[in-house]
Amino acid sequence: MRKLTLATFTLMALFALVVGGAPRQAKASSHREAPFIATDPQADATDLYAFVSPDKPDTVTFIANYIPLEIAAAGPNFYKFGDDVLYEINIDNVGDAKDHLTFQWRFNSRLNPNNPAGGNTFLYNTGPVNSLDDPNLNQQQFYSLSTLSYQQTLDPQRKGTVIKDKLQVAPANVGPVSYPNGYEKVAKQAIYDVGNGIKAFAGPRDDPFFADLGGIFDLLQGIHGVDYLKGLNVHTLALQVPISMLKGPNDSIIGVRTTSYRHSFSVLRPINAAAGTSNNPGSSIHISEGPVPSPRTSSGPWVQISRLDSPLVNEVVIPLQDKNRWNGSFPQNDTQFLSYVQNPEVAGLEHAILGLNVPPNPRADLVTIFLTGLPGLNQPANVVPSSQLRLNMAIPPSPTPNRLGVLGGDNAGYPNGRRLTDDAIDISLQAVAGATPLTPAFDVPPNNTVGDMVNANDLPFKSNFPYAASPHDYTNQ
Amino acid sequence: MTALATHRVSWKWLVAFATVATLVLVPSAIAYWRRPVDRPAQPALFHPLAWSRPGTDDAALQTLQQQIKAKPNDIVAYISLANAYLQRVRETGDPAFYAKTDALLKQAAKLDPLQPQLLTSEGVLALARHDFAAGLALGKKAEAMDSENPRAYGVVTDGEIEMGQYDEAIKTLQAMIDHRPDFSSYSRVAYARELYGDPEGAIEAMQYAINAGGPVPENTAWGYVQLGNLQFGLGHVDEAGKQYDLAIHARDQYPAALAGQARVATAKGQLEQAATLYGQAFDRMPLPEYAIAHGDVLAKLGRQAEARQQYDLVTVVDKLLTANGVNIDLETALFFADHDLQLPESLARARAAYAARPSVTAADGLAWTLYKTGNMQEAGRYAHEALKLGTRDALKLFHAGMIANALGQTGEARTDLQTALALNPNFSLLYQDLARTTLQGLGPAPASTPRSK
Repeated sequence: MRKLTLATFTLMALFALVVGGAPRQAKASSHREAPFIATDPQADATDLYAFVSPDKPDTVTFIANYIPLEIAAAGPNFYKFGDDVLYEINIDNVGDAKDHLTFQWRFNSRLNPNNPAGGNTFLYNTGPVNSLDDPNLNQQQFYSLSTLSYQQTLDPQRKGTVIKDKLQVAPANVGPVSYPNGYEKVAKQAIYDVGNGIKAFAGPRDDPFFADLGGIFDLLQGIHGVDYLKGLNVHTLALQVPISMLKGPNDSIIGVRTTSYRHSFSVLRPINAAAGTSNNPGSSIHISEGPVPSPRTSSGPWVQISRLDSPLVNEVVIPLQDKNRWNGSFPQNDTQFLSYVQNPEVAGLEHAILGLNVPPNPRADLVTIFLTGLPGLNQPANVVPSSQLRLNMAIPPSPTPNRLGVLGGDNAGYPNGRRLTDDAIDISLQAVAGATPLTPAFDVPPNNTVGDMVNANDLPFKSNFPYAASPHDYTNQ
Repeated sequence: MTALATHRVSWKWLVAFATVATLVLVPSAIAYWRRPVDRPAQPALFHPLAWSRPGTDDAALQTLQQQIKAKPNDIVAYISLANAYLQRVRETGDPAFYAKTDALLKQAAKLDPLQPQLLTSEGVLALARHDFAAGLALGKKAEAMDSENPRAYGVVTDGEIEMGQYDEAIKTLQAMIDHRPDFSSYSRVAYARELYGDPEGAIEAMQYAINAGGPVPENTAWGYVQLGNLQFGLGHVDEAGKQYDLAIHARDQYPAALAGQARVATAKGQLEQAATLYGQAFDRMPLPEYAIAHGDVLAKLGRQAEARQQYDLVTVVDKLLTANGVNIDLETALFFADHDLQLPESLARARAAYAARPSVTAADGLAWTLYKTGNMQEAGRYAHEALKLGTRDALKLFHAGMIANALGQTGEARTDLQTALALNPNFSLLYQDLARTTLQGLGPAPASTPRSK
């Protein structure tokens, strides 16, 4: 997708996009022509990061980004988290491919009751905004943050233990006139200490991902090192958690995913039988007897609709026809994807398009990188192979991060966790080309030099939580 | 350990190291893998389609066309362009894209006739052309090839509903939403609930659909129009107007939303404005329904000649659609019946439509056409069938009430007409007054109305 962005794209453009259908014939036609697919940007994860916090090395920072390719000039309907989406970061600190600790976000939007317009406007803000609780900030979104145990994740209602609620989401960066004292002054108030040494932030940020999607997209011109994601924003869920809370029983290695869920429910709402509708099939028109009995309710389980861990797994490893299966899958069942890891499509493309000699299938090296972690670095003892972003929390942060992470001699970066500065595209392309010490014969030029020629983000990152840069507004998109 | 830092470390060595010292992890100061120099990167290419942007504007279509030229054996390229064409029809109403889609899918079929996404797109095209039996068969084939394909579930659901296989449709749809709750499944749940007489539940599900969002603004606009229609069907004229406005906001000049605003204007007695809006909708997308409604408004305004011009357009568009493989027998039959035009052909086409797709909607159309052609007994049978799911739709109830009245079933007639008017007093410019006068003519209900069968 751009990571999952691409998942999104993949889904949309490839097959999904199509919504097909004839023009609907309204009253004259029975055929409703509902769209045939939906990408679901609010529930679509773009990237996941997990790293030992450089300024607080006794903590780990998690960043899960959602809503691909947000443009800054999005008014009047600015992007926001989904009120009916459940967002989670799932942590396996045992290595058995189960979620032993889960952080969960639930959102709730409202119009500010203190706004002078008194609910009579849907304007995002009705005047300058100088604080999170400024009455001029009309559209507000809040969230509760919970933790779930493994047992709690087995219940389809996914109810956890609330750490803190009524936390406010940082608002959209509407523009400099709306934030006369600076947007970041307001956004900073959305960084919360929620207890037990945990910090939380939710809100828009500059998309920290960088890649030449434009060049990749344009078949005729190819790559020329332009960051297609420059100027675009995402919605960020960020947490900073003490390592002591994350550490498992065996070692300091955790596996991380982010998942999102929407409600399923009964197609036909249950009708209260006692209210006595006559559904007598012999009768003429059985509904004509007055009001619908109540109550009717919609309820149902949460269904996982997005899954993201290591960057690019969805593009590099999972073929198109299985992306839906992937997005609904659980790490315990990842052996179903084993053959894709062993026989990656992209390696074939690197061979066909770039003329690279790539290691022969099946690719044991990629099984190590994508499914088990690297022994001696981030592979848990007795690991159950599964796709997770694996981080050894005992590796201290590097004072001089290398964008190629472990490939660049810097153990504190991807694929040992992932930092904002790690060049996921180049690392992944080189790894799939076999340019790692796992397959030394292929760890040679040109395999170990492939890349998209975009080596850093368009904006510098911040030195403190939540690290990601301030979101673009319409003046600097 | 120094060796680790200075040479490229042999992997075997590392494994041995890790095995011996299982839990001794590499300290960060020592590179696990070492790349001394950050070499300049060389360009790489991904599968371009995996990165393509959604959209159906000319540039997007052109890019997809180029991809076919570049990779003439890539089935995905053909399907992607076909899918973009199908979306384009949603946005323009130009049925010529159906023939283009058809041609592309036939080319793709030469590469791999059983590719599940191809089968699904073929099913979508068949449904769009109202060949519901073929659409259903293709959807099932696609589903059999790939049980994880949510589009296939959607095609099967739509096919089953249009073929009158409601129990199966509910099961398919339940599987679809349990598999992936999203715009596609939520909006289909809304339609199922509407058919089953739960418009409030339909509104709830459609709101979920809109919240989940579609890949292109047209989808969101479509969702708001459905919400507007549901609200209008409950007689909530102002609320419906708000939803149509939101649809326009999502996609400027969205024809279905303009038509919705026209319906709202009609309900408020603003007929001139309604006529203008229907004209705008038709200009944007020449659908027969807009011309029909436009003609009805003009007729009400006493502008008979202009009304006839609109009605003539219906026949023209019908021919155009037929030439592009789109069957609108049912819609045309109802139009003829409503306007007392070509009644024998109207009945023949309604019978053909019902035979091809025995749904409650086709039963309703056939019932009304039978009524208009004087076949009351048969009309009564189909009117009952049309409401067998418990649909709370004022127009269908009106049809049933008028037919019951003609059959001398006064109690049912009264109940149905009362229910229709209570649901939506503005359900039809053509018929709402007739419903009232007929109901008045029936007189007050006796103390206890016996239900006939």
